Amino acid sequence: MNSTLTPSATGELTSANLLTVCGVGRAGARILQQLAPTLPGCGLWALDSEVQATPPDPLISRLEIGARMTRGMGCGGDALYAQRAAEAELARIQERVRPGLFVLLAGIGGGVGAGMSPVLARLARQAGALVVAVVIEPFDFEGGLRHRNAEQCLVALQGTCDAVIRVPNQAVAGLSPETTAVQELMALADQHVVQVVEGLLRLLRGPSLIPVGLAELERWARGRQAEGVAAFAAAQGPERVQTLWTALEQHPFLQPASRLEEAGGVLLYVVGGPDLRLDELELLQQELRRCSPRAQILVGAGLDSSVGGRLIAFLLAVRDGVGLPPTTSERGMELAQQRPTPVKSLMFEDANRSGDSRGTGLDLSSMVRDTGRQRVSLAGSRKAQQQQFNFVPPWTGRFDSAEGTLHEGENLDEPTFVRRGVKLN
Amino acid sequence: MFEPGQIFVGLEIGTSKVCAAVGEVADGGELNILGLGQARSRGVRKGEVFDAEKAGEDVRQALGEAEEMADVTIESIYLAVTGRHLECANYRGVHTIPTVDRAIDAEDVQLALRNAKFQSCPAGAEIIDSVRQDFLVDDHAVYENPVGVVGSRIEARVHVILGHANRLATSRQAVEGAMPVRVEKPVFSGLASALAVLTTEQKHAGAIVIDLGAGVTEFAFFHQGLLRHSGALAVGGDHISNDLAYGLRVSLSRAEELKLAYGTALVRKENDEVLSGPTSGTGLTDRPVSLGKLERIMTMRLEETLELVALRLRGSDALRLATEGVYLCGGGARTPGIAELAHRIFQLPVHRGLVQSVSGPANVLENPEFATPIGLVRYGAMRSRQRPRPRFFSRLTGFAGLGSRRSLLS
Repeated sequence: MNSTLTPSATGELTSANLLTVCGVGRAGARILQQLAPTLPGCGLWALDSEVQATPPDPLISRLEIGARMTRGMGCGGDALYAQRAAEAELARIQERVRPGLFVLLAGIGGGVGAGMSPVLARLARQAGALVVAVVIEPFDFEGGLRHRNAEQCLVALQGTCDAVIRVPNQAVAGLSPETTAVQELMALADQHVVQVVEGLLRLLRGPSLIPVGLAELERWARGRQAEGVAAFAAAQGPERVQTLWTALEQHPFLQPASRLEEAGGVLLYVVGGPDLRLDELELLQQELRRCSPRAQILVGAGLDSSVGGRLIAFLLAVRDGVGLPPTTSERGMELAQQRPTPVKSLMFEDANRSGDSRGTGLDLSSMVRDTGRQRVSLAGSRKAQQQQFNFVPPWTGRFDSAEGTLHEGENLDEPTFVRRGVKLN
Repeated sequence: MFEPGQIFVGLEIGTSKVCAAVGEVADGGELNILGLGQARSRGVRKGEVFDAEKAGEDVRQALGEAEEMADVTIESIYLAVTGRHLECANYRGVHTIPTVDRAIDAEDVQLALRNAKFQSCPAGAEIIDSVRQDFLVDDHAVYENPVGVVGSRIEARVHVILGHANRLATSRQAVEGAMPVRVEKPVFSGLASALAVLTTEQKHAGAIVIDLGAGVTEFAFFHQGLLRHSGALAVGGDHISNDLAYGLRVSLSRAEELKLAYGTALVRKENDEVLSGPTSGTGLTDRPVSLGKLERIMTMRLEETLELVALRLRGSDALRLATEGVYLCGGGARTPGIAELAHRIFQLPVHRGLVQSVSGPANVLENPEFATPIGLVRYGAMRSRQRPRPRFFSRLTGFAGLGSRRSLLS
């Protein structure tokens, strides 16, 4: 049951070991196989508990975990069992992880995907990698167990990854006509995941006009603990940039539209031919700014003469989580990062204008807008928590059952002092 | 013109209370308030009816009271609507005149206006009101009334107030299902309050009215006699109580009491007094609360609310043009210090909005909470002045609705 992978070299990041892609579980391995031909030179490996789950592929190295516990069979959908199996053989996994960009692919309805992904993500992060998980969520019809697996796994992943990109199968189904066969839908979902990884790779390695390198990506994503969605669009013709934006804005994964509004970070990478114009990029940037007023926006542009007259866009919208304490390898970076706090405190503006603390008797130093961290300390716990699209809504008291009043991604029903992160004592 | 003795009724199903006002147009066009009725509102949240049955009961009580006081039978009412589903924005509509060198006539104007409204209205939405602003002829000159001007392209700018059709129907149904009355027309309640509070001169000079309600804060900006901008923000007094309940860890009802007794829009620096709680019926004492905290929580919410209103008004240049200043009405206008806070945010003179040129019981006219229903009565009176009542007459002359919007809200 020995792996064929030699222990990877850490140290200098070269373009060859920049990207590691790991498929966890059966779905992960399946997608990895589709990806393999397009990712020469990247570290590709599959993690599974079943020996015969996937046919061998020369491009992909395999790591079988928990073979003793499961006697080479699967985990039967039991995420806890898979997690224990992975934890029992931590050292073997540890050998395979390395710094750079670590992309984790998994279907998180199944036991291995749900149980082993968080363990793997944690180890990769400890090794200093920027961890991005691209996870496929089960269809609604797949039933309670798989959904519970997915939910628990999402929570765990958000606590360990730098970004979690969700690909909900059910939303994929919304993309195609109702009569589409399940097999085709799953292929579509796989295709989407493949596109995400290819998009990331293109971003990091493709010939760039406005490059977004690992450093930029890292600064953008690191510590965000975000969860989000990725969308793709392509357009051509005279009004291609407008068409492109409309397609992105109306992308089913970005619905409801408040997703863009609530986003804490948006990354847009546009690939065009030599005819890519500045005003097109400017327009996209302006539209993004309008739709996501709070977000830290990162726009990159790539050059690819093979696209012809088309424009291809890759958009990643994530919502901020609270942030984890930095791992040892990134503590030094933390100081250098100092991402500008998105100060949108009306009090601040006004205090600057009138030149005093406005007679409100508030200690301005206590009002630095870092709501997330403050909220954690209010709750009296440093445990990493996530802001989520659907798991933990903010406290809104009597308005809990009412439709929220959103303004620039904030729910105005939540007390003002909580949103501004003001401590009362 | 007015028919003396004509009676109009305004009804507001507010978040904290349901108010009705019955008014009569006197011979000289003056409004006289004959009756008022109110009831505690139980079926409304953030300005929208969520329990139609309870709201219906409250409507019955308020209208019944008003009927009794005015000694009339109410047949039709104007209904105030608000909530986050409302959308107020300025739209443009274009109409091209097919023949060369033809003077623009009334029909062209109507078509341009209609195009503007059409453009504004997505599926599921209903236009509550639309106010024409001005016209561009051939992309340059600005006219208030372009009839008779020669041009080939006319562009109308219109301020449109849109609502969600189903939610409007819910409010309407709550009234019509509870009592045998007809809802004449829904009216944006921010507009109604402004009509009650502002005089004609103030509307011409430029003024902003902010209605600080329990569930929704509405604003309306008038300039040159026309409604230029308006809007509703689904944040109000209930949010203050909610914040206080959370921040001070007291029950909602205690938070409400504390807000009314000690509420303020300004933090007094030295205030770190601690209030010991009253002894309740059970013999247990409520949590003591710090006045300083209460003031800070409340100030932050009020400040944010007004800042958001200012933010929305900034786009229409209202803060520069509103030379008459800001008029505050609604329950929130009673908050001590709110005028100072508003002055600091808007940098304009701030006044308590009082109901204007209406006769009636003095205590009612000075009460900022009654602005909306009284404004509805005035809206009704203005509308009937616009529309000659016998319909067939207008059809015969072919002047149906011509120019009606122009002076409606002036």
